[in-house]
Amino acid sequence: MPMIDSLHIAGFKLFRDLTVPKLGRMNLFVGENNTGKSCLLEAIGLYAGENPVSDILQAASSRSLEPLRPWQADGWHEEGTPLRHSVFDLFHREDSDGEEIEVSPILIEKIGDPNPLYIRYQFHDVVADKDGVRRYLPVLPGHVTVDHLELALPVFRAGKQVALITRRHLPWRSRIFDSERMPLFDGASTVSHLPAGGFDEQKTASLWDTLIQGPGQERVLDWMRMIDGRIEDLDYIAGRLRSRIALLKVKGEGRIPLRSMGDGLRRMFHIGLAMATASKGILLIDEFENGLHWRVQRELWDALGKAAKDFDVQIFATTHSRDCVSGFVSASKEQDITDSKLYRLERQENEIYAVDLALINVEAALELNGEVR
Amino acid sequence: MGTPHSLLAAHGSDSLLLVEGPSDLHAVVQLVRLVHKAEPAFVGFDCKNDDGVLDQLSLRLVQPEPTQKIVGLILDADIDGSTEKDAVQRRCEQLKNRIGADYDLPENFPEEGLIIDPRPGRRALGTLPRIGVWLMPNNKAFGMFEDLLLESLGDHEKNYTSSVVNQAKTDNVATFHPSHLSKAVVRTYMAWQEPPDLPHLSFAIRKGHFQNIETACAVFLDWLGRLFIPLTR
Repeated sequence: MPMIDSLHIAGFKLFRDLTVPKLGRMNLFVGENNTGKSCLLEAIGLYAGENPVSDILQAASSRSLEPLRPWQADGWHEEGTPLRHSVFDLFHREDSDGEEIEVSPILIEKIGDPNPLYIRYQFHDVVADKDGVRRYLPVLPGHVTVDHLELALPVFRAGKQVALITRRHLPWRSRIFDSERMPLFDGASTVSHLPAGGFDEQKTASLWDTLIQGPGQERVLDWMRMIDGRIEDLDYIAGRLRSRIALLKVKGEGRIPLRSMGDGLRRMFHIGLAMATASKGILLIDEFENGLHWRVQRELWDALGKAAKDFDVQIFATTHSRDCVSGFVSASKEQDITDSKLYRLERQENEIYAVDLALINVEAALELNGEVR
Repeated sequence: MGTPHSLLAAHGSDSLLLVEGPSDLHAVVQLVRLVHKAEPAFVGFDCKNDDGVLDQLSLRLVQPEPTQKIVGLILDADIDGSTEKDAVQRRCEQLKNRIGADYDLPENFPEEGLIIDPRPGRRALGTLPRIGVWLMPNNKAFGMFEDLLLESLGDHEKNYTSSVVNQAKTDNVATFHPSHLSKAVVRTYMAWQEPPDLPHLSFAIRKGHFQNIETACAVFLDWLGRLFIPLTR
């Protein structure tokens, strides 16, 4: 799998223009709240993922507290405020005393990338052709516009338009521009993105099912045994309303619902699933430490480092935890992953910077009880 | 000594001098007092040993919003197993591992002592410090602070004391490690002065036992003065 060896993100969420000059096999991001750690993982997911339309809509909904609102066709203002379908929140906006300013496009690329991902925020004329098919024609400068004006998001890859996201994709219809299949670009990878709060039950069950063949399930169980050595097996049974319930077989205790076993075990289950389904791809873990004891974090980074090499996975994680940083540093050494990178995202007014922290210095600072987060 | 060098003070000051041990720290402070007749403006910090110096530097490069404007390092060019030829080179490699990402180290270590600013273009909260490095004794030879002090003795004093110490070593009276020869010579010389029981280099410096110290340490003092502006308060 070609690694993402650097990253340049412009116009995306909190990032006006962010450069991460060097990335490695394992990458960890620290930083205060609201410095864009989760946004960074989303950007990587969009960049490396296989289906831009659904990935973009997914990213839009992931942090939105409300369900996706309808994206209205006519007018982009509602009672004087801009109509904000959450997909528009993917675009970076600078506050300028409440005035609507021009929205810059989203650009996500490696440095010197032949395949940049580029998403524009553009008004289109919606016209019906003679067969009654709706066509979106971009409104160009100088164009005299008519009634059916609508915002849409053309998506470009390697300079070619590969998709047009319009309100017709909502809710959750993934329609490809001009009815063509989205061509896979060279760098497309499997992306396994574990959010801070974990996967939902349905996703967890379906990931577990995908591992039914081969050693994947046993590997996930091995990771869970880092937390509780008595775990023997895991099965899903049918619950009410077509739900499924994960049952753990625990030595000496029989079968116990996973959700009654504590946050740490559930988190480990999700990390194990995410890793096992990320083979030859990218693993994104938001708030790595959630629910995990410090000793487990160290052991887990070791296991991740080993798995990253064995299964050719590039890892990106975020954390607020000192123990996570320390586990990351020692696992990089232990597993001889010399290109591991640790960045601190810093915010100065509306600008976010990525500060490269050399692991040798971080190790010394932690040893001296100093702060790096 | 009057200079506070608690960890707290070291974190608070924007000019910091990191040294390998208390003896070196007190001696440098005394040297500045003797020559400039004033208290140094930097805060000295005893890092216990050479790794301690490098680790304290590391800490200051990765902590959020770095506060120090100037960090000076005094290291002995005496890494175990190094020779006259590679002593400076090996220290340079250690330094490069720690600061290479943000600072451009010169190919040859400057004999007048190193002073470098971070590479421009790093965007972050707070700025990285100016870093100064002196490799004892003179940025080119294997050795330590005592080698510099030896140079401040008159030829007769230096040669006489050295021959006695060497004789003691030959006659198996002395057990010190051969790499500590200059330490043994300086301490022997100190034991022959009045009073003979001065425990620290800094006391002997204050007493004026090292007659030519200003000349012998001129390049070193010049480096300190170029690094810390002003040098005294």
